[in-house]
Amino acid sequence: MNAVITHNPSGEPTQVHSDAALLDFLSSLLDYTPTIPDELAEHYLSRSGFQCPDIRVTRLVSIAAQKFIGEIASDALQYCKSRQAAATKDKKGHQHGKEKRLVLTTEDLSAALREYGVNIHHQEYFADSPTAGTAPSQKTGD
Amino acid sequence: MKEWQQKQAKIGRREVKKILTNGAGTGSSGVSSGSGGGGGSSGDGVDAFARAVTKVAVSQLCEATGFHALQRSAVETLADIALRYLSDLGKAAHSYANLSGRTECNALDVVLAMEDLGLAGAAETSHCVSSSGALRDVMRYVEYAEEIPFARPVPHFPVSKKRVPTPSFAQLGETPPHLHIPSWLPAFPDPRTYCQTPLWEERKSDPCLDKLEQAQQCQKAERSLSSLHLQLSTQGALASDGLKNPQNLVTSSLGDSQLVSRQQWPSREQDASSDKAALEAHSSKGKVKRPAALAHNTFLAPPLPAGEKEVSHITPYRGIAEVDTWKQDSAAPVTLPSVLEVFAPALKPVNKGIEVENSGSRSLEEKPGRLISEMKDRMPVCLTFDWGQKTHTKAMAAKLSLARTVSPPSTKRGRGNTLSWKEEEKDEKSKRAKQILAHAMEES
Repeated sequence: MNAVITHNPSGEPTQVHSDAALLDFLSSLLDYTPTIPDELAEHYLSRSGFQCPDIRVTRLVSIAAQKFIGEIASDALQYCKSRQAAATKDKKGHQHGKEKRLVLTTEDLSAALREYGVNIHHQEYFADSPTAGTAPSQKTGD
Repeated sequence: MKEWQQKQAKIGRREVKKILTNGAGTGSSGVSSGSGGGGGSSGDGVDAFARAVTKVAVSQLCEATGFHALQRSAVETLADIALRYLSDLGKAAHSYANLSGRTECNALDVVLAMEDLGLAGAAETSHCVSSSGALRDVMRYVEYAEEIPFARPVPHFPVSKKRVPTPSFAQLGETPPHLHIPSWLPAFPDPRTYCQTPLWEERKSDPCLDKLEQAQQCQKAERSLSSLHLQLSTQGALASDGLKNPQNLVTSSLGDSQLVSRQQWPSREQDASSDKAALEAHSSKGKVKRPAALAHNTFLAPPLPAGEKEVSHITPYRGIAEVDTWKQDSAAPVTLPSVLEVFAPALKPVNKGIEVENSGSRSLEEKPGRLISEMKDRMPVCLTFDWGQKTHTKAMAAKLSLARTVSPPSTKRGRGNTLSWKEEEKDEKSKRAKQILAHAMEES
């Protein structure tokens, strides 16, 4: 589809078409209720200087945020599943029932977020010697 | 940095440190460095509420993705990222709107901001905003993703207190007090709220009136005292004589004081002297009266034996009548009662004694039963308790034993004029024993 739009010599008809699609999409947003509440989105948008009386635009923003979070969560889920699969492979079906439970951990989340440019790691913990804290930080960093 | 970390370690807290670096949104990251959900540090109630709402929304999304449970730190991180993404998007859209000379954002600004922040479709070369890859991704997401509404209705926040402005002159329909004040300005408050008003100490009471009041009260007290004396000496006719003069004196003295008070108290000595005189007169009268009053105090006097009643009411009423008539015309000359009348109350005990003697002598000849009946008349309260058969018989036995110990009343009667209480009591007991016996006989 990228190719269709970009390499079309006469771009005007497609533009009109996409404008109509955008309008349709915006009007369809009136019936859509995003998971991130409108009030929350409005509050944070007004804080950042965003001013718009149109609820559809606010919903567009909150849907974008929702999509962003959803993508991160699904990535983390994939990480979690692969980790569990590796664990069950090692143990050869010792604890099938227990390992099925999917928990969003910070490790999976940090791995998923690294793709989106968000770098997350634990704070270094220094136990008693100055060298003790360096090892875990290297681990989480890599 | 290391020192701070060591400090943290010393405290012993192991916190998840989140360093959020938005690599994609480099265009707007410089602007958005200050705001966003930073690690739950804000003590603001609005931020706390917003973070709580965000956490719920994020966990709902995670649940929809397929997770069974969430780590708390992961939820916090995701909520932070969501809030940061929202505000970054808002800032980017706002800056795009400002770039095109608008203050209000529209959907195209948002799409441009999404392109800036988002990853998909970032390499779009078409200059058509409405057909960008980011927007198409969002459209696809809306189309295919499950619609998960927020679990609860969220109130609009932050709640700001509405301030009611003061009404202006025009709203109140007043004209400003001065010409240079336009009518659209808020009206002045009431003059009493800003003008200084002198405060006079008002005297509620006049000292002269106070004195007058005091005198009247004194008069009242005197009157009540005199009426008390009257009551005490209702039996004697001479008591009226004793009461007349003090009252008269008191009233006259008070009248004087009233007169004097109207003349601004020129001489208090006069008043005092008159009071003194009244007091002296009173005390002198009291000396005469007191024995009579004592003798006629019905509470102090010994109980009247039978036959006394007919005698007692002869003398007193005349005295009261006299007092009444005197009260009606106080101006009339006081008629002093005779010496016999004056000393009647004092003489009374003697009379009584004689009568008691008479009754005693009479009772000698009569049956003891009659005396008992007389005693019955004398006793005002006769309590009989019925506690069943056993107690009844016991009481009967006790009464009988008592009656046995008590010697016949007739002999006691004949012994003297003065009737002692003990004898009366014994008589009464024996009488009751008899009654109980009779009752028991009837029952059986």
